[in-house]
Amino acid sequence: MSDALFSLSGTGFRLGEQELLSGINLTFPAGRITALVGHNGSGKSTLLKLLARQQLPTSGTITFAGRPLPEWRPRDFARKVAYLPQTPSIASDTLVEELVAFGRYPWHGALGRFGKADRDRVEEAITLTGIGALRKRPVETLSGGERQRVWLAMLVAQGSECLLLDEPTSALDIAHQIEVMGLIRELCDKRDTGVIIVLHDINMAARFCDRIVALKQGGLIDQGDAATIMTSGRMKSIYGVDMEIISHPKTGLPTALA
Amino acid sequence: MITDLKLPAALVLLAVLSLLGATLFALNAAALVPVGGWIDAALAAPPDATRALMFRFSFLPRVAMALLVGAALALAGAILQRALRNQLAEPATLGISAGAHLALAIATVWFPGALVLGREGVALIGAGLALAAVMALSWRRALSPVTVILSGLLVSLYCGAFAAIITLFNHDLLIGLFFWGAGNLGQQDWAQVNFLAPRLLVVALASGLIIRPLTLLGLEDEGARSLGLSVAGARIAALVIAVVAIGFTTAAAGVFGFVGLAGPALVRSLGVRRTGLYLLLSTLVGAFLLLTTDQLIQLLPTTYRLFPTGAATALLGAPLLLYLLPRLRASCAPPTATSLPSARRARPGIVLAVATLILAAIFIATLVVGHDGTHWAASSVNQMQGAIDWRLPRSLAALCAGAILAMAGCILQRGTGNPMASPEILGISSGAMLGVIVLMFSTATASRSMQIAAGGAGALAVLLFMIALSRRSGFSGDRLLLTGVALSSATGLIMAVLMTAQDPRLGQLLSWVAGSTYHATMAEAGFTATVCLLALAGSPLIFRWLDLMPLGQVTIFSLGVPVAMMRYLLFALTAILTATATIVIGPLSFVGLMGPHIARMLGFHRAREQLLAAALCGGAILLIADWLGRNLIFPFQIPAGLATTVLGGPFMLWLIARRRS
Repeated sequence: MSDALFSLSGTGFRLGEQELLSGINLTFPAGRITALVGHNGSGKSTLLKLLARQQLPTSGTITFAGRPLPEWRPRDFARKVAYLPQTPSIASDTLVEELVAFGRYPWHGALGRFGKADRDRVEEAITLTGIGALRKRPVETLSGGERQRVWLAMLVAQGSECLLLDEPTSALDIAHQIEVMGLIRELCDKRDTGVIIVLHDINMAARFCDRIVALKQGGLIDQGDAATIMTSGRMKSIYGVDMEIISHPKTGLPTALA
Repeated sequence: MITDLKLPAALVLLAVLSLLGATLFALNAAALVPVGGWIDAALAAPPDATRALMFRFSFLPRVAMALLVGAALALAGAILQRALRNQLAEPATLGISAGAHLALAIATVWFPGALVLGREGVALIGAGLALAAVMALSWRRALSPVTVILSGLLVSLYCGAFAAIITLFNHDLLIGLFFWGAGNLGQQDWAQVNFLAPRLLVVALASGLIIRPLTLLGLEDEGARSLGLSVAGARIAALVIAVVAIGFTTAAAGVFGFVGLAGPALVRSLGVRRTGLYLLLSTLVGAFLLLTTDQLIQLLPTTYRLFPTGAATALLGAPLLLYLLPRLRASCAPPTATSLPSARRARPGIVLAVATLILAAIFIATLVVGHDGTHWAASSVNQMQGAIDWRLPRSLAALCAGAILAMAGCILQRGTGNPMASPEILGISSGAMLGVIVLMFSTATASRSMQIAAGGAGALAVLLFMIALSRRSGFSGDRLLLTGVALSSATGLIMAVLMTAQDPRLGQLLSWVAGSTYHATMAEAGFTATVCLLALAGSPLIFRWLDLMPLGQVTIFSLGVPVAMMRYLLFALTAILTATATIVIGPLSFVGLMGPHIARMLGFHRAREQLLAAALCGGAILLIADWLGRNLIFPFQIPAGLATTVLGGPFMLWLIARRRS
């Protein structure tokens, strides 16, 4: 449980003149859900892209399971880490079940057989995410919420031990948000999947995530258990807004009111 | 923010172009009239002063025309690229110029009386008919970008093929049209400027009104609609404005190919994104690009001044574009659908197997049946041996080259996600053509095998160049395609020079360019067949990659695909396939472009089905076209490339116009 997935030391990223991230020292534990929070432009998505190897840090290093990221071979890394960008492609001309099956690429590669094990994982992912009714639909005809779930199903089929999710609930209504977060929680609890998730809603983070990591202006500003981080003072320093923290009348969870 | 950072770069380009244009203008003007006398000569030239008259009634209107034409086409190109969300959209995309060209060719050959309407009138009628055809085809699908583009390309190719056929048989009548077709700015008075200027002013004002809708059209259709924009309405407005600009310009001055693509592309590669600024700068860059080119031509010795400016724009524009393209950021526009929606076929495997058998039967039929000058006849067993010697190489070359080109187009369209991508756009064909041209001019008697070697060397040179470029700039689909277009336009330039110079070696080249199996030998056909079979046998290696393409680069990468190597391999494969087919039967555009679309519209969507279906369609179309081309007007021949468009076009039109099942 306490193994580190990713470790960052002195990690920074700059684009031209702009310093998007700097001097991040951080460890993400395995088998837990870590929320990345912060104001717009705080560097959450950039950090996630660095973890997903979509971009290379311009300073410092990142290791996954003890090995520096550049040493991982693409498919080996993809078997360990799956990434869902904020706005996935519209995947034109692709059926839902095809999309989910594409998640098996890291296992069968360009030439390997799409075997029974692959098929089983795809079925499992479709069942788990509850998209069975959509499977013959073209992805481009789905609603935003359906699309989010279908992409999540692809990541589940990928069978990685770590998921990197960039605002997977952004297009969803509150009921679907809770449903998707519950699904992610279930993946973590049942399969020991480590999840690093960018979230806008701090209450959603407090309710479903084990840890919260807060960024501000490209730097690490706070991290800790959901319970410890949810105080008025710490919220003020993260978001720059006065917030009241109350205890949820039913669940007793700390809840922030702006 | 990026816009403001990059604005200086665009202004520098504009300043350099206009300064260059002005300098050349001054040089040319000074050759006619001394510097001090310009204003006097411009206002009132005395009837006995020839040079002053030339200055006033030929030189100055020509300058005005260059600026007007360049501005109008670049503006139209910029609008089209936004409205259709495709960086390859340009005036030629909608078939307007081709329609005008065809109308003029028909009028010249069969209805000379119609020309009393004036060249402008005939050209406008042709342009209008072409537009009507495009609109009618894409109306039912609410003018979605991909439909408009496909319909436009089809109309364009179709008109082009017909015009080429007419030209082939009426070469002498249509020489004047060559000049027009290649874009000629020569003026005798201010009439055309007076015709064009007020009309373009209206166009410019109208395009000012659609800046905001255009910005929204850059979003996905759904997004734009949710912002309260009538997507179809806005797109019609944009298209009509662009078409009016193109129609009037074409009517007044002829076909100018490159400037409408290059102007906006240059501005974009310098990072300008805001719509209003982008339209304005594109217009200005287009105007000065054409002016500078035209003034450069006028510096040439008198004999070469007839040389058409339209083709020469590539002289200046192509190197500029090649230099600036590596800076072009990957397109920020949201991905658009790359194909028309269509139902999927239930049992693709069985259908493909049956189709293969049918194709085999057609193949045998083309060997047996022919036209002997008086009637159609199947060869008897005795005649077969002789007939096969003649027919087999050509049928086999056509079949396999068609299949190869369609496969190359399929890989390219899936790989770049651009429905306008086709093998010829890679510049490979242009390389082969250049190789052949160089050979023709260096030796008097070039044998067929020498031609093939030269074509191969040219194709290889371009191939290596493109690979080097794609490695350096990290292979982005759009960038590579634009580079190919720039290279192709350079070849177009050389062709235009040859046509203008009336070089006798042109005929040979023309028949090759039109795509002909006339010279195919058994050895070549065998070679093509080998490559075709190898490609088919090796294609399973890339099915998975091609399937993943619609997911977008980010997801493909995160699935562990070695993206750089994949693109590199796919590109090299496409290039080799294209080179093989091009060298044997010439640069055909229709099969490579339309084969994959036809396959998809017939319901073959997954990579393996689409690739095989495209190969079958491509092979079948070219095979039948070649056979018809050989027999229909026996003993004369219609080049297979032209016949392909004439034959495949209606089929494709039917598929587009068909109701969604």
